Amino acid sequence: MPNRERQSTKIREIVLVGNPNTGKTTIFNALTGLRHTTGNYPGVTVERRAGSMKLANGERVSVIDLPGTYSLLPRSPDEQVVHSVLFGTQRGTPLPDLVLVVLSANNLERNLYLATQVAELGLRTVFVVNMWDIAKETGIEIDLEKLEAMTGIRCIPTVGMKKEPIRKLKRVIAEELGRGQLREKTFNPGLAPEIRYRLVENITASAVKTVARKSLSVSESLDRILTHRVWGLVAFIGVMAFVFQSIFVWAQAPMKWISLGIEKLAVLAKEVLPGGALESLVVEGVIAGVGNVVVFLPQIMLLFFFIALFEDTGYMARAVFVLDRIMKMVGLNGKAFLPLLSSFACTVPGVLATRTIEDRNDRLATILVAPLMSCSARLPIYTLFTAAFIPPGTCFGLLSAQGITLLAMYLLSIGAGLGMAAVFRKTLLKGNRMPFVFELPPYRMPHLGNVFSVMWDRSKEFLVRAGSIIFLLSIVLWFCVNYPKDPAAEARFAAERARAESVMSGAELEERLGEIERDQKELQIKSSYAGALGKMIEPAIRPLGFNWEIGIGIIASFAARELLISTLAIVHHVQGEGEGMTAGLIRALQSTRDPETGRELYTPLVAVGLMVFYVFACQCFSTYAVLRKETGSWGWTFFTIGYMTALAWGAAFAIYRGGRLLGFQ
Amino acid sequence: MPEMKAVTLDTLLPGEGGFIRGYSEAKELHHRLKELGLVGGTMVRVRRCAPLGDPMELSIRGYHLSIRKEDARHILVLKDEQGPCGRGRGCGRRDGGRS
Repeated sequence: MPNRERQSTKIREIVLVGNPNTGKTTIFNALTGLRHTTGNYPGVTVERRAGSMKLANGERVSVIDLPGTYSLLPRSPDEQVVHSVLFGTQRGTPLPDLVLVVLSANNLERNLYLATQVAELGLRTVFVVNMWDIAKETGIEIDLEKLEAMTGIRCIPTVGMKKEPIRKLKRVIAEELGRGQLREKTFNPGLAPEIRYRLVENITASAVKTVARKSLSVSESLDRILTHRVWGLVAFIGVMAFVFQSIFVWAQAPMKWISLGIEKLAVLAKEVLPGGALESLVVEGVIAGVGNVVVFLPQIMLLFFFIALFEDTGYMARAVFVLDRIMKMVGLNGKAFLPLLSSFACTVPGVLATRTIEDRNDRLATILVAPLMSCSARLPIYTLFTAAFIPPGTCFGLLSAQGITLLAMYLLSIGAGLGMAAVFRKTLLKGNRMPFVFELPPYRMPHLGNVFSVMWDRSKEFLVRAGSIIFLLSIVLWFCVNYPKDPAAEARFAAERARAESVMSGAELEERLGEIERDQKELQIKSSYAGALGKMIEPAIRPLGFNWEIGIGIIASFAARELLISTLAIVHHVQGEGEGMTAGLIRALQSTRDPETGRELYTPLVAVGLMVFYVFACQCFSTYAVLRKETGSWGWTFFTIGYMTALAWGAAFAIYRGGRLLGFQ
Repeated sequence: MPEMKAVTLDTLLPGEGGFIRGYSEAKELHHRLKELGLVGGTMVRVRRCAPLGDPMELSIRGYHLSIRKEDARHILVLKDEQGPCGRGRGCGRRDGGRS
């Protein structure tokens, strides 16, 4: 029976191996048609891309895109995974039935270093000689028959996504999978690089003919500008300004649509659901919680789009090249720049982006300071307190005081981040295990399919990572804010509502009901678990000039920092939604007085202290989760939370006490 | 035979190059550099230095590699006759800006 036969044969596995910048992922996409899944290898943070393809005979085979590597001797987690898969020791991934080594025809010598290592493993192997067109353009001729004869491996030329060569490759894959015999394993891991390069040079000496070594003229002239000592820096700043502009200005419109959509959804849910605890849970817990994450999606997707674009075109390597000297001053390397930049949108993708840093100490130092970069969840807090407490006048007749305050918060976060990096690299994380070297590949026209596919994969990972935690936490927070219920108070408010309904009508009634609702919410939050927590931490924040009402806001911020604003709005009895609420909250903050002292509670001094507190404090559960995952240790996670909290408390204390000494209120 | 003298790689100016003779000290750290093709007998040429003088971009085995001067300092090169391109711009001090 054919059916039984199908079941007895397992799905066969093909893996793609190769140096970085060989177009390996393009070949993977061409073979699998962009349909693939991403995840992680068990226990490590290395991304696992897997897809499947159909052979001419109808058989479905699985295809895995292994991380780019230069050698089979593992030095980084990425390379460890490649090593384990090819040696059959990787959990959950069987020894592959066929290995495709993707080589860049443009740079055969260095590519053959890895390729010959893989060939010696004795697995069924095919060499995919990619970028055939670029090699031709630069005057390199490769005699494939000679190459096959000298290595004993089938060689197939390809040109990225181009259809005909890929079809040929698929045919060869089917043929090779049909072959029974495996070759002998001759790999010697102790072979010195000098000797292996002699072997490789032997091969290239007879198989590669350099007709006329021409450099790629377009790539060359681009490099002359983009790495120029003046224009290189100008171009870099221009590119980054563009990225920032798009993330913080252009992303605002879609973010607004999303929050409007979420509000609509909440209204709809209120209509559909029966009142009471369930409605409250769905509307204030679930919908609001998911909304808090989804609203950042436009920013995150734009950020990932640019990163993927820079990687695909080759500009990323130039940015690292231009910046390395600056990052070196604080003990980091050029590759730390991108994670830190991403952290301005959100710490989670920022920390994930540190995976490209090979050296452990470099990477760890970058992870530890990434949460200090001022993420976009902090921006609404700066905006609110700046608008409420910083006078709108101008300094030096040019810049507005409010603008300077905002800028100061960002500079503070950058300064603290780089400063702490320098401190960590001089104390806890001294020295390097690896020299900092990287390839500068030729520039390429971006392949938009690849760019969007990478963007989508990473955005999905962000949604899952940050989303699931914020979602759970939103429900916990909802519970803390809404419980315990006080039946006596509930009855009293119900009675008041009934009384209002009996004596008033129309707009007057609406207004009165709104007021009762706000009274009830205020009383509820103040007598809730969150209120109790706020009171509990009050002794710790009192020296900073914060009272327990701000304490509730700080507690709520652990789900998402911007929740400080909506929490303060409830605590201070502010009506309205959206912009109306913000204006009301600003008025409320300006007029709130401390019941014990009778003085204004929020002075400009307290407001600045609170903003600085938010610059430094690590109040974000998604960050804790990503720190734990990427450092692989609770120790480093708690260390990061600890040092940031200490920094936040110390800075807010210094500002409040120092300001008081200088005579500010 | 043109006269050749061994210098450390970080002292070369853009346009200058030569054959790698070896490493000034044996270190496990250098294994990665060797795997990338920086082994004895290999032809290497400095293409340019980054805007702030470090790192430097090398042309080696048909591709371009960025390396920090602090790492290039360990590589000994038999310099060939070809002089620096242009006015030797781009790399700052000739001693390689060690610090």
